[in-house]
Amino acid sequence: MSEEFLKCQLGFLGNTEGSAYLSQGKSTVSVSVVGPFEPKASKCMYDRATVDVTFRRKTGSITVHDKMLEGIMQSTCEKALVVEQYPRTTIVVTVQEMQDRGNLLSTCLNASCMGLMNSGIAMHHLYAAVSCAVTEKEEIILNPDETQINSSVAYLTLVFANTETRCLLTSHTTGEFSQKTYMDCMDKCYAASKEVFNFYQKVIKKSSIFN
Amino acid sequence: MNSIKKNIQDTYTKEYLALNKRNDGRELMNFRDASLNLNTIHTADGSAVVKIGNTAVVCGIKAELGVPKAEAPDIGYLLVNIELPSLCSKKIRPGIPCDEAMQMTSFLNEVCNNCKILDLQQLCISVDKLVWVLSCDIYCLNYDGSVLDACLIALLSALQTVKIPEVKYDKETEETTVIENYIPLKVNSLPVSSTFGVFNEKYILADPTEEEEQLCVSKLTVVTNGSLIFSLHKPGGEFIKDSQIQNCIKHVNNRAKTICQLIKAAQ
Repeated sequence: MSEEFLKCQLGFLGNTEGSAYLSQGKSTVSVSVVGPFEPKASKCMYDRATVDVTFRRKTGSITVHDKMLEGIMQSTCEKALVVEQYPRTTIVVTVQEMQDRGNLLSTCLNASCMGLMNSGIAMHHLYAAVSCAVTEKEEIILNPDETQINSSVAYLTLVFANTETRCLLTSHTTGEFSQKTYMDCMDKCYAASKEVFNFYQKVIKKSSIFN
Repeated sequence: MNSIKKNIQDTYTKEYLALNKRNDGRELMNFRDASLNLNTIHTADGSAVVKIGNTAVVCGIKAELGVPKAEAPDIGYLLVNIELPSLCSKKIRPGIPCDEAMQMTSFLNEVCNNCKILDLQQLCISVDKLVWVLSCDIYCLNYDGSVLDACLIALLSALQTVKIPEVKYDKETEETTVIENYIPLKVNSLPVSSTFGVFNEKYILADPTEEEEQLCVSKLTVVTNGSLIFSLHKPGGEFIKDSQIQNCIKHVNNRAKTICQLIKAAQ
């Protein structure tokens, strides 16, 4: 993963608790985190906070497929946050697509993690998403571009946590592959996720808190 | 679910799990029995009813004529839609389709594309003018966990019962004549989906019931035909280790064989 690949700006929105603007290759996503605040009575849970993720497209309303991506982001975010610490509240994460040139899901997930970090809400762990494409010759391309995704036989997005042992958080796949290929992809994506965590660390160190 | 009720059920289930049993008598990696009934709806072009334990879904397929997309003029449509009505479970409210139904619909459409379930070119009647549109409506009658698995079995077996008549299309007069010569659809592959519930980092339950799904922190769905994997879907939740994934895939492959036999035997 080259230096130029990931770019991030934290706290670029004034009226939110946390925000992040992340570009991964040619795809760009912005995230805002609001909360914890008091929700409507119907959404209120007395022993934990509710997490609400909304995904918005550049234009138009979201499709059924986007709804599935939203569900993936929702459960990944919810698990990372210490929801028991904020009872009777809700945390709203809004993910706005700025430009989609492949790897949208992994960009959204990484951006949401950065946004949550910036908000200062207590988290169990951080997470990093990495996408890879498998070509016909069974080669694995990490962070493929649009043409590579379209010509691939399988396309996987895997999310790992920053734990010492390898733990898979989320997996979303398209196309067909064998069990061995899946395990190979896991190895490669796990190695790449380490670089994403290094990037997180670098961005946080640069941000104003430590200066 | 009410937290107090959940807490009681959680302890109850944990006591069972310590003995490697579940409260319905199954072992951790045992699946429920599936049953299948074909051609139950006579007004549809193909239909199937599937039961897995208490989960019941019905799938009906209607073939209609339509105009193909300009960017793909020689292929027909396969439209899959899952509906979770409020009668199937108490957690679903009447009104607009719930998020879960949308996510399941999207997942099933993705699986159909991944394993190229049908050769869509066989649905073409006249290039750029007329194609078959197969609308597959899946309706959940009883929601008792692993609905997606039942939906996929229902869709596959219903597709195999579809017979489409031969159609003659006159390009100049734009007239269509239907000849009563029915041809069955060719189904390419038999993907089988299996859901696992991750109870905690130690226990993984195969084919969870609704009650178990509520207690589980995350779900893992694997779609395979016995050798190739078409989807390994895990939307967030608790961590899962490599060995657990491999164990799940092993059990899915066995399950795929049983389900394939079931579908083949039903015809």
